[in-house]
Amino acid sequence: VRSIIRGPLISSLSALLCLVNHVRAADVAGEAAAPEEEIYEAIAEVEAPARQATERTLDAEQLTRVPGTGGDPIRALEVLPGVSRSADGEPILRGAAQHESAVFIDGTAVPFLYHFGGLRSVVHPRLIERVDVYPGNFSVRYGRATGGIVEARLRDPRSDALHGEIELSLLDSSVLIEGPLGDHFSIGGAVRRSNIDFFFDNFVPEDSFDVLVAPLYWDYQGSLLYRADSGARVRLSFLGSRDQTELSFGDPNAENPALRGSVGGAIEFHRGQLAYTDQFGELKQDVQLSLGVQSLEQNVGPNSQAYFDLIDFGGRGEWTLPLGGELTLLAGLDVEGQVLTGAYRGDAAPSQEGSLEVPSNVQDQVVVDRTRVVLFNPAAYLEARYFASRDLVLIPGVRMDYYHQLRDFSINPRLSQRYALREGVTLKSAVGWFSQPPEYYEALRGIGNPELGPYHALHASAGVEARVTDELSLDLEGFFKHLTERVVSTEGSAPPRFVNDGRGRVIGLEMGAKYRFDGGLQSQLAYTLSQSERADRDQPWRSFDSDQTHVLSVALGYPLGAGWHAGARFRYITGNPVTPIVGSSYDAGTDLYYPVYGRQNSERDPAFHQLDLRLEKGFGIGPGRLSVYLDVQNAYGAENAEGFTYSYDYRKREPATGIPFFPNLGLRGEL
Amino acid sequence: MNEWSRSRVGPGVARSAGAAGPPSGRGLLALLLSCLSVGCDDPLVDPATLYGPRVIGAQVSVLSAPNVAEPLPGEDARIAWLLASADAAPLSVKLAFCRAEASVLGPPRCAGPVWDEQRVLGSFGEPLLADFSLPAELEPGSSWVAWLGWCEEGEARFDALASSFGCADSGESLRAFYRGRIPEAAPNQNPSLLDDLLLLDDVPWPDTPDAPAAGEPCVDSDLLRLTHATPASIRFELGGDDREPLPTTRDGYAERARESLVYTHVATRSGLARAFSAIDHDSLQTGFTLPLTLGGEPVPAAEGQSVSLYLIAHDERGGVDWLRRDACLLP
Repeated sequence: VRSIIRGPLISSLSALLCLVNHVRAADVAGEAAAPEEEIYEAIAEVEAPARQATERTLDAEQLTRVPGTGGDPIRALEVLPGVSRSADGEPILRGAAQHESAVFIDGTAVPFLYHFGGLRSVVHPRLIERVDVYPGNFSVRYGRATGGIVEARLRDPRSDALHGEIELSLLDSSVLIEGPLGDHFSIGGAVRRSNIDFFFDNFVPEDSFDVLVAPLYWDYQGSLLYRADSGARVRLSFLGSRDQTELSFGDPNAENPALRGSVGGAIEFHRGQLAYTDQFGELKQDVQLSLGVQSLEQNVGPNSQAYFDLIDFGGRGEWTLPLGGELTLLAGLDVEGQVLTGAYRGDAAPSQEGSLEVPSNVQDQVVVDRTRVVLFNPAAYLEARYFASRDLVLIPGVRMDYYHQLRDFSINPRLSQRYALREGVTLKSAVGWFSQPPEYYEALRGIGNPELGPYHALHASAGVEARVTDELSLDLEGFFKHLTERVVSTEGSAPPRFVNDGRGRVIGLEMGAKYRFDGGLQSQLAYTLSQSERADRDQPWRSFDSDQTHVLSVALGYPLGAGWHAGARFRYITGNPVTPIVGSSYDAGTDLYYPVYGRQNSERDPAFHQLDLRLEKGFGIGPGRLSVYLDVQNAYGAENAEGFTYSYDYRKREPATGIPFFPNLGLRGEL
Repeated sequence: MNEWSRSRVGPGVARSAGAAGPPSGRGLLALLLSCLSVGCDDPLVDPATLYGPRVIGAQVSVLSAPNVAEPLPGEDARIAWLLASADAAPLSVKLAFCRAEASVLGPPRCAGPVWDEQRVLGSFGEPLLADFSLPAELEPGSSWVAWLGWCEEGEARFDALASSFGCADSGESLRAFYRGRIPEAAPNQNPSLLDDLLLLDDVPWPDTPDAPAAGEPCVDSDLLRLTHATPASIRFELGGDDREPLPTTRDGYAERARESLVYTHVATRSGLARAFSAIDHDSLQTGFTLPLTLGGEPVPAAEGQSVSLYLIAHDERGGVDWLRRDACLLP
């Protein structure tokens, strides 16, 4: 018997005791018929005490069965309230731009989360234990972000026996293996490689280009866990990833002559992480150290090239000390650093949000000859968890960050509270100040503004969580954010190119509901109503680039029996804002047309709607299990508009449509 | 991209926010995948065909040294605009000159008042010439802009705030600019097509100043012949290498030792295989072949139909030259 109980401390322990008693009773009743000794195992996974007002978690099983994600846990986040639709998978949380939120894997920020701009996340889905989403007002544990936080937690290697898994799909193939190594160690790892290059040539239009290197990605993860008898844990983990491709255009592109010759690049990272957890009396200690390398090469035609090599390092130490029954103090250090060597020749960088697309013009290139940049961002934080009464917990905290590149610092005070109004009903609210440094190049002399400072956001939220019945739970929350000193481009990216002269405001209401029907049908509904706006320099307020007024997601999962499992997800989302093009100007020196824009983000794409389906059938074969699945994106072939494609002179346009009906068939064997 | 897919705006490759600018890891491969789509899309409008009025080039030359493309402050210079259309017709354009802001993204904007405004008369297919002088106070490294506006009805008016010409009335309009730079070293030179070789189906293709206007009967002229819907080819070969050497430094990244030359080719009838060709800075090739099949409707009558081809050379630093050749398309 193996059972996992998940929930708050008291209810989990109660459930665990009930289970043990139940098993004992069954054992006694069946004693005569079961002469052989049996071992019963029950695991209570206890939710950690809250560190912020709002935490949303998806566990592994939920994650890998969300239709339309190809079993990718991180793409499954869009079933949660407060998470908007993102074209490339990078999360958009409560109206924040993608670069304003941070994504961590086991406490460490990753350089990129997806292969090929959103195809697959860079971690094997079966190694992810859960994904925590903090859409706003997150703990002082996290910093350098003004939006929200997503943290994927990798699970420990299994220690009960040797296990393996092989998965084959149209997109990629992977192998996972894990098991015990003596009494105190367990070890596991996975490798994955794309299959695209095997059939890519079939999709290349004749005479369009030659494929020098077909698109290829791979990744790996490994971990070695040591559990001491004393309860101490040491985990050594590795992960790495590479994407690459290169094409050769025989002739210049029909619409922009700058696109010609070879277009390609490769990006790769490797990272090692050491995590140590121990308890010294009442004091609990968590220490993490990470060290990694990254490299990137890219070239777009003869006039745009870049490379960088990077060493990154980081560490986090966190100490938790209960002081009596009501108060727990938590102190931490959070350090991240990078040593970057690189060079760049190409277009000037636009602002990361709110920039209007302009064609690449070789006359406007900026050049950074080989340069070395050291980024070092240490931070310290202190948080208290104070039970003012049995029903009220207050979580004040303060975080101080230093930004070495900016020679500047920020202090972020934050306060969250949760109040148990009655059994199953919790009121929650929070307010906090959040700061984030610019991207390194925005503050780099020559192509950016070294005088830039960090930018900030004020978050405020209030809501209620209610477990209405054992089957139904609800989560309702309103939020407001005010953004200040955002980094925006100057007009035409004229020197100093970037300034802290942007503002923003976001207001919204999000609702989540989970219902488990009799018979096993599970449903999850998420709806977010929001308005996110920005103002750049002295410009008037405009819609945020990814402002989505209504975001509705309904996901269903149903075990059909006999190893079958079916799932469906439907989404209805307001179309993204678009800026109309009202004319064009011709650059006679370089033979390029520039669009003349109307009012920024004053129009919208039509609403997005899509149904995704997933059907899986599992077979037990001896000690193993074989699963076949079909994951279908856009089951009814909705032609969702994603902006427009324009003629070379911007006089004609037609809607560009998103992903068509896209089935992915896969096979997975587990031992 | 778009992917995968951000809103796709603009011709060619749409740019991902993270992919443009110095590398940060975010979105790089999205850019690469977006490139995959480039070859898949038929353009909405064939850029190699003249369907209506269109600006196809502008050349600046110093009056005292016509091959120099970058006049110095206080120097007298000439700008020649080439506007083409499917049929020749008289036209009147307005020009405005101003100092440019030091921008590197998007079209330039005026950094000060307009210092010269002119009306130029001419006709489509013929260079429109305007002489001007650069203000003496422009510093090396700064930029200036010559704006052009044409309205099918009424007269173009320059809006200094928007840095653009506009038309009061409805109808076709054209807006164009040429951005010049004050050289910090040796000034750039215009490429020259005079000494280059142009062949139509392996026969030298001569200039024919007295050719019938595009679309007119031509069977009795001396123009080279093309047959409707029959494959042919244009061969271009550099006579002398116009790729000027560029200054390099020992530690410079991805520097080019010389210019690249990009050629735009447009015709008054559809059928060119592409709109652009290039002879890159590192290319050992000194020419290119352009296939063409002038098919489609209407099929020319027995007396033939004159077809014009414009070839415009750009050195990607503002140096420009062009030529026009005519052929007779027979049924």
